[in-house]
Amino acid sequence: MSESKTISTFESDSGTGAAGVRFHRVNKAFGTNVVLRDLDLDVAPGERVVIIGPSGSGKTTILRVTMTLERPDSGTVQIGGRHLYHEPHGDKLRPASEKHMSKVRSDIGMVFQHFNLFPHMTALENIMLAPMKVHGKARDEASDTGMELLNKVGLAHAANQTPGQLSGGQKQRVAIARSLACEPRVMLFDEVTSALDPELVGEVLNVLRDIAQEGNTTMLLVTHEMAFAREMADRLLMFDNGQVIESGRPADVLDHPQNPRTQAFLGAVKAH
Amino acid sequence: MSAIDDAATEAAEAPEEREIEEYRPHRKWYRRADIMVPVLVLVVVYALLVGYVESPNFFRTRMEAPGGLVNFDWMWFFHLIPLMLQGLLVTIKGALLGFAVAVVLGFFLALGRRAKLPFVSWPTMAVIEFIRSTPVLVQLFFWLALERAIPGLNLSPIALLMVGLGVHYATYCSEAYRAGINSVDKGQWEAATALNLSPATKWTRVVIPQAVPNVLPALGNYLVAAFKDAPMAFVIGVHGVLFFADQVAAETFRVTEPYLIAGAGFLVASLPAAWAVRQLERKIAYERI
Amino acid sequence: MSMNVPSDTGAPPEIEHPRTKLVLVLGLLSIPIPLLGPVAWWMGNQELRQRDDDDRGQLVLGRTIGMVMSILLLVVLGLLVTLAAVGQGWLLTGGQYRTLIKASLVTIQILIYSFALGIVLSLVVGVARLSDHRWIRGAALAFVEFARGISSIILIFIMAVAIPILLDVPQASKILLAAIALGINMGGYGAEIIRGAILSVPKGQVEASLSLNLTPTQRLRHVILPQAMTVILPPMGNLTIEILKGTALVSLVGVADIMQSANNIRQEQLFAQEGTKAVLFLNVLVLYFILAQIVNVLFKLWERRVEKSYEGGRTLTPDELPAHIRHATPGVTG
Ligand SMILES: Nc1ncnc2c1ncn2[C@@H]1O[C@H](COP(=O)(O)OP(=O)(O)OP(=O)(O)O)[C@@H](O)[C@H]1O
Ligand SMILES: [Mg+2]
Repeated sequence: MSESKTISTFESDSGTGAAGVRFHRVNKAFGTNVVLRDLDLDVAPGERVVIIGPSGSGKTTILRVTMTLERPDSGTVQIGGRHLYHEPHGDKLRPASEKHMSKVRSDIGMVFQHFNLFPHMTALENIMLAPMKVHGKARDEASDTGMELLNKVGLAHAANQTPGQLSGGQKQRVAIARSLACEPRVMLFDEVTSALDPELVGEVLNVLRDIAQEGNTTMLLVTHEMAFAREMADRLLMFDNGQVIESGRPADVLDHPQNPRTQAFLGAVKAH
Repeated sequence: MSAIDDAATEAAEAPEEREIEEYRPHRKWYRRADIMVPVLVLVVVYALLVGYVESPNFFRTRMEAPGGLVNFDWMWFFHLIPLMLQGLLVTIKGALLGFAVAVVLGFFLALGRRAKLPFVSWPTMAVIEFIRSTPVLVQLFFWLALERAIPGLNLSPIALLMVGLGVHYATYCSEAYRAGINSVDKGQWEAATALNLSPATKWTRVVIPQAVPNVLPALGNYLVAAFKDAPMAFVIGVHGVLFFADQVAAETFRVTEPYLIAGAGFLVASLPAAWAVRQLERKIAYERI
Repeated sequence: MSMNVPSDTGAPPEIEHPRTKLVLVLGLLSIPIPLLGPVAWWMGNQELRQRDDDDRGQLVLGRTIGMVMSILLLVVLGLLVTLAAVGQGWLLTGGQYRTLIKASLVTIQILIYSFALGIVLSLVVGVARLSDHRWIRGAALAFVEFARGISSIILIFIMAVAIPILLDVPQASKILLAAIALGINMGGYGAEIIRGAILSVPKGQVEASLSLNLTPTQRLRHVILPQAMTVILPPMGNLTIEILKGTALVSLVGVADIMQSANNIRQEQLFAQEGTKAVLFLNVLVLYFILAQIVNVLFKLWERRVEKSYEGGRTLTPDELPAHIRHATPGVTG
């Protein structure tokens, strides 16, 4: 297997800071519906990759596969040089145990389109849960970090409010803070502004800009906000039919698309 | 434990996999085989049981318990089966008779509960609440004592069971009726009003036909529940499945076999009944109460 | 009167409902003064009809307590009238009441035992019903079918009469054995409640907790069960009352609960040639009814507590924030 070799050539794992992501020949189908086809993709540590593409092209699926919410049919995924779904065994790979997956998974954070905040906890409790339960932090420490994170997303005053009391934009900012509290080395954002009213989109994008500026996480974003993609992305990927059909600097892809399907998609988006 | 995430997936996928036959208002429920066949079967079984099962005055076990120090004797266990079945049939008959009372009485309770006048609806509700939250066993003793207290009234044990179970489960049935009526879409009521239908037409043509499919499975569940309560009537002298076990135990001084065979026989009857109700439930889209 | 009041918190302006508190107070007061029950019930209903906001917990609680108390009042009134009409005295002697109340402690004891066992079984079997492993799932299903299929009275006889002989432990406590039988019965129904409630928690919640890397147990404990609670509690309350009703059956295997003492009193009456009196059993019924209503109110209070966790607090003012945050400029604002 060539995978065991790639570990050594791929960036070595320092354990902290941004981590790279590598997909190798990842396939995923739902029944007869093939969603990812032999996907190969390398994301460097600290890189900000924006994924665009038509509906149903598999953008969400690739993020869900990275978060282990969906298991790929074949292929390998590596986070910071460590295999996510496999464990090295000699120079072969074996399907990973739940323990191994959980260890690698702790490097990844995901923000969902529909927030998925825990409705029975306050904003602060939402943020404190994982640091306390997963990382074993003391309550005080978790609460201090939690307040700082809330402040960072401009919601310190809402610490004691439950999701039911918050607006969509506020909910999404809490969800981002919750994800940040685990100090993930890779962050996944799935259309985090799509469920928001237009006037609330700005506040969430501002938070994303802040995270990008700090630059200690790798970011994979799926979005339909082309202007934002242009501003944020180090690299823009055009997805169609479960494959990357075009990739490059955002300005290049957006202004001079080469692939006809990209041209059609961007034309449709602009016309809208 | 990791079932949780699977469970969620299952929940999301379930509607796609299993095809639920939806209730179709244009097809009248009494023309649907999947509803009428079980109901008819029930009625026939009911008629047969009520008509032909006699409750014997006493069990003639004519059986010697095997001697020795064994705690459990398989041969004897199997020999008890015919007697147990005899008792089981009486228990089933008692449950069916009681439930027949419950179905009718429950309807009147539901009417009272829905009444516009508070001095009708509140006491009805109090009575329902009271009967529902107290044990049937005590209620059976109450009816027994009442029957003894009224001179000239002479009810057989099975008639007493019929009253006891009937009144108890009438309260459950009334709640099922109420939920069934409430499950009829508000728009249906409004449409009936908009069409200027008379109250009688509204009820018989619009509300009840739509409520019945929602009520039937709930009634089925309560019938099974009534069946589970029926064996306790041995305390008032009904010769049901526990009476049999009690009698055999008293005659032979052996308790393990009779009670275990009673339990086994009971499961054999109640599991298919519960399964049939679940099938009915699945066939009919209905709102849980 | 515009609804678009600009506010930097983004939270909607609070609407006051002065009547809510009143209904709650009336409801609570009706516990010592049952006559206030109908007022709380009626007012609560009026108020509920006008409101469809989420913050109705206190209102519902006040109304429910009022309702329970009015029903209690009506039942007692109804019994008084009936008995007066029948021409029998409606009270037992003080000594008989004392016997019954002492025996109700045994009933409560059995209820607590079987509730404890029932809850544990419900949780374990309910979760096992959703296991990945076919065998665990199958075993859990078999348990549920057995526990729901068998009649609790037959189960009590098997547990308390047959099992001690079969296993040769004649000295086993009847109370415990009967409580185990009832607990198994409750576990069967409870497991289905728990299973349904777990399935009702949105899929996104599980995914979010996975993305935070919580272990399956933590997921269940901190995310899924707390949310399932709102779905679990109402049917669980009903189930507990069913089990309370079931405790009357233990008298048949010789446990000295309420029902058994009632039968003892009946024997005494028969012995004294007084004849069987329906009044005795009416009193017993009322006793059970009161116990059931206590269970009911306890569950309502519990439901209220769970609902409260969804309500959250108010916006914090700058003074309430920790010092280092108060002085720092906020990162981003909407
Ligand atoms: N759990 C699932 N079961 C079956 N099919 C699925 C499942 N999840 C996704 N799919 C299918 O996979 C395909 C890709 O879905 P995906 O959500 O990745 O698309 P997307 O690019 O994110 O689209 P959108 O822009 O609409 O969010 C779709 O055809 C979808 O129907
Ligand atoms: Mg998507």
